[in-house]
Amino acid sequence: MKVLFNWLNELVPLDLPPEKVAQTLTLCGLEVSQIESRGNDTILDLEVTPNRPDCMSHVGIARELASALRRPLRLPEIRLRELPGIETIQIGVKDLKGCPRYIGRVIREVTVAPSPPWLAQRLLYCGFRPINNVVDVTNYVLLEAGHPLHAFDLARFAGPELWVRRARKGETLKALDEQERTLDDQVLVIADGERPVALAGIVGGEESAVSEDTHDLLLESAIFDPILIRRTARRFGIRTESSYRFERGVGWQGTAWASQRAAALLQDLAGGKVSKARGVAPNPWSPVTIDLRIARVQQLLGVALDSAAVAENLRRLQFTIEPTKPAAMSQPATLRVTVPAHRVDVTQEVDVLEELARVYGYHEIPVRYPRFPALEVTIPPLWGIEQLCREVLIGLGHQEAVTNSFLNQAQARPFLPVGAAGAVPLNPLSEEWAALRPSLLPGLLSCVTTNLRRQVPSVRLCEVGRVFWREGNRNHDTNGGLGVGGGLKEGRRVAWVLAGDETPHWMAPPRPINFYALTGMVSHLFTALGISGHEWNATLAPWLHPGQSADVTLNGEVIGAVGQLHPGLTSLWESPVPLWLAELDLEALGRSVSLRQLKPPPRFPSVLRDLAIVLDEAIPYGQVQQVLHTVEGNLLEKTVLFDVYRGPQVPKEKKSLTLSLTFRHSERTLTDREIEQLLQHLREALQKQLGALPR
Amino acid sequence: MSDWARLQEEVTSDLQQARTTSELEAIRVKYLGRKGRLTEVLRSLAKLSEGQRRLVGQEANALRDFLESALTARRQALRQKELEQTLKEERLDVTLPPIPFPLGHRHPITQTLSEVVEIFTHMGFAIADGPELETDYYNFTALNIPPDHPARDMQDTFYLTEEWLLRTHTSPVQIHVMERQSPPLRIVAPGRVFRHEAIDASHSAVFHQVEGLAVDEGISFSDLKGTLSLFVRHCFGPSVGLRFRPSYFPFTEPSAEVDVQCLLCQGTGCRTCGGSGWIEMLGAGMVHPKVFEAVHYDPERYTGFAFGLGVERIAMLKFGVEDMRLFYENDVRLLEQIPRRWAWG
Repeated sequence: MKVLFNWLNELVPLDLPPEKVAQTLTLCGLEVSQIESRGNDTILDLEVTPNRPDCMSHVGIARELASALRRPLRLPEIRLRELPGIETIQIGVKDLKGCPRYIGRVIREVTVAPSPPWLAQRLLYCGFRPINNVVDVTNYVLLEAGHPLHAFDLARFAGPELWVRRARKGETLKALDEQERTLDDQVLVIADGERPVALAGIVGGEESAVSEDTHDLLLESAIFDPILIRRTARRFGIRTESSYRFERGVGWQGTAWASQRAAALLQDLAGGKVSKARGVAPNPWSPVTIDLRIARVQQLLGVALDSAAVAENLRRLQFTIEPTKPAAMSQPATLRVTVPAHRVDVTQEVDVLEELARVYGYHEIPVRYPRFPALEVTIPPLWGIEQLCREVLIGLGHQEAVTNSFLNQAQARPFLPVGAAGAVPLNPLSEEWAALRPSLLPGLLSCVTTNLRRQVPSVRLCEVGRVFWREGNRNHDTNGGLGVGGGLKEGRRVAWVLAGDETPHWMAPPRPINFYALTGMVSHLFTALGISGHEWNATLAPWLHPGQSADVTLNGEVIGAVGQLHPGLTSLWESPVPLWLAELDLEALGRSVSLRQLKPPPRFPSVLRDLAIVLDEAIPYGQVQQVLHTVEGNLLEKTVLFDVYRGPQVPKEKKSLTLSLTFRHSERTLTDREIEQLLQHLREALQKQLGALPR
Repeated sequence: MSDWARLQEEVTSDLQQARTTSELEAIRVKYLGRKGRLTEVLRSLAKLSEGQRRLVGQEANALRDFLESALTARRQALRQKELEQTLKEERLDVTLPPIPFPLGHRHPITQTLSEVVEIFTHMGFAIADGPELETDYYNFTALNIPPDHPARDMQDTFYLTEEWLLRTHTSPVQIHVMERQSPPLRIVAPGRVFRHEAIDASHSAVFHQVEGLAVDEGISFSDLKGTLSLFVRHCFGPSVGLRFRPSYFPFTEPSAEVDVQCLLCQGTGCRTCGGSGWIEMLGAGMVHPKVFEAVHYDPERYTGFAFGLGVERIAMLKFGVEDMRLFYENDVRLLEQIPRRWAWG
């Protein structure tokens, strides 16, 4: 909200430079975000928090300055001549909850013309477009006192009556924004004898608007229900200076003052003849009183103030404090605080305490280093696993990325779990942000390909984050953990994407990143996490190249997949080199990690033997390993594959594997004869189960 | 010239001619080996009479001692020479490019987030976790932002259904934790949050916060000031000024905005701080009694403070980044510059 320095200066003597005034306001909780010189004035741009509608005006700001600087507030003098016999209109309020107070004033024989320059300039500086003297006066008083006003062209009314009522279903109103809206009984309107002439508290109707031909006015000053105004404004997508203030609450007392002030200005600037106010306010204003327990001041603010000091501070904000009853021994000291009418936000004890802290000064409250009690240590298990995943992947040369949770539909769709639908916001920011990510991979792929386009030759990115999807059946939610209702699911993943060769070096040929680098990284990560026993199986993941990818299976559960991006998706992520992807379910990892029992290092020597076999091309190496460890699981400590050969030395459709086997007995040294027997068992088993022949 | 003198001369000349440690070893074998000349002399002593034995023995032992010490001295000299020769030959061009080892880096946002969390865990705060998908109740209503409350406008929201939304702040974690635990408690809750708003250099629709909450008997605004002063001092250095100014959050009262003196201009005013010398760093306040009522805590008995800080903003300040969007581009040439932070626990 923009306020003018000179205008404030009329309401409270400032004799301070605008910067100092801005600083004072900021420290009162009215942050000045910008100071701008215009003409002979200075514009202060203020951020007024939603709890302070009383500060949405020059008088409101001046009131704060008066209390902060301990100076008097000077309201403008009103010289109004109310003439009898011209208030020929009947006013009725049918919804007293929606409109607890209404003041109407008839003003006749106005001359509609441009406003005088001083007034037009103030409106302009505050961001209002001057229209004519009548509309400008209502806006001027809004800026001055914070009370929204509306002027109707009385000649446009069907008969001498005005009603504040709910709209009837099907009634329409064309507002000043020239849109015609169909109304119903959720909408509070101002109506003449026949139809609505304004959306109450929000915007006037076009037909009853003041124009150059207007002579007789009805000036409205009222209070409307904040929730009703807010709902209607949101429903119709209209935001006005008026609705903004009514939504937050407008002070009761201001209604009459604003009506008088505007009428006096119209009398002086437009030559209007002003009637007496005709009002509806069946329930007179009863001020809010709150009991403030002095002990709460120390308890909540940590500052020791006695009743007198509390009272003195609150009085600066126009709170009325009843003299404290002398506190009986058994009864703690309490002050009865009466809230000034403009402070609609102060309704309970804690509100008064905040006001006390504010006026006392946050900077005056002492800094205390708390003495906290020792508490149970609780750290979510996945927090540590996430940190470890990051550290391990970084150690493998990945840069950690932070990518958007939103994707476009084309990027998201291929990564949805089988049978799932996408989780999508009802109100996306744009097409590019239309879906929540079901995987970290699409975002990483976009970042990797951007880097490649920028001529970074080799890119490795990793990310830890949340993913979202929607299970097929929307009505049932059986998932625990982070599973949420409406079929919506939230999962946690670690993922990484690689492209390009290892950094070349003059001593070694360039080494490409390939599938085995990926599986190696997964195994490396699992070793770090203390997870073992994972397997590589054919994957159904539709985003992966079916021949160059694998599911990662742990204890029979698929917990992720690795491989090359499916060639069908390269149009979404163009790259001159293959893109290698890996993604794992962090919650599944969390279920599998365990603290390992340490084994002492072996005391007896191991024996190394090589084993060379020839077998069918179609038999995966995993089966060879499985046979070896099933047959001699106890004594065969380790197998290392060190050569895979295909060529003239072996038959077609066959391959030769050479393995290095490490045998060890935990309690004695193995003899040569035992080793020979072991090898013989293994050769026989390989031949019997896989048709593998020794070479 | 006696036989002894001749033998000694021979030994001396042999020793002088030896050029390598292996030649030296040959000399040792020639005289002191199993069939060495001196060995043979010493062995033949047994056949001699006692008088001759003493005479010859003395001479032979003297020669042996001489030979052994001469061999040792010569061996050391030759070894030294050979070592020097080897060292001269085994010479690298140390300026050839070293073998590159891959080193990754933490993202500035997650690194900053971890650092913030660590500062508070060292003050005895536990870490708490919450979902990014939240219900309207946890994100708003339980935090004293009922439906139709104007403060809902402060946080434009992505809705997935009428009830489910992407959390607009990490504050819902407060409610989850207080529903599970009774006071006293102290937690920090880091995480990603979402606001339906336009993106520019200093705003993102997806960003990160760290939430803090401490509840106990006797916790006051003074403790909040103390805790956040310690945090700011550790995070930005001991001399950085901070100020508390009144603000408004529906779930805290009194509420405060905490500003930190601008690190770039030291408070004199620059572009980053908009000329004010101060940078808005976090929002904080005393937990509102309505929030305690929502989780069935007794607001008469317990008080507490809460705070929420923006991770991106801290990262921007610490790394001197003026446009937040740089963080989400993930250009490796930027990320590679992030120094690894030493861990303390």
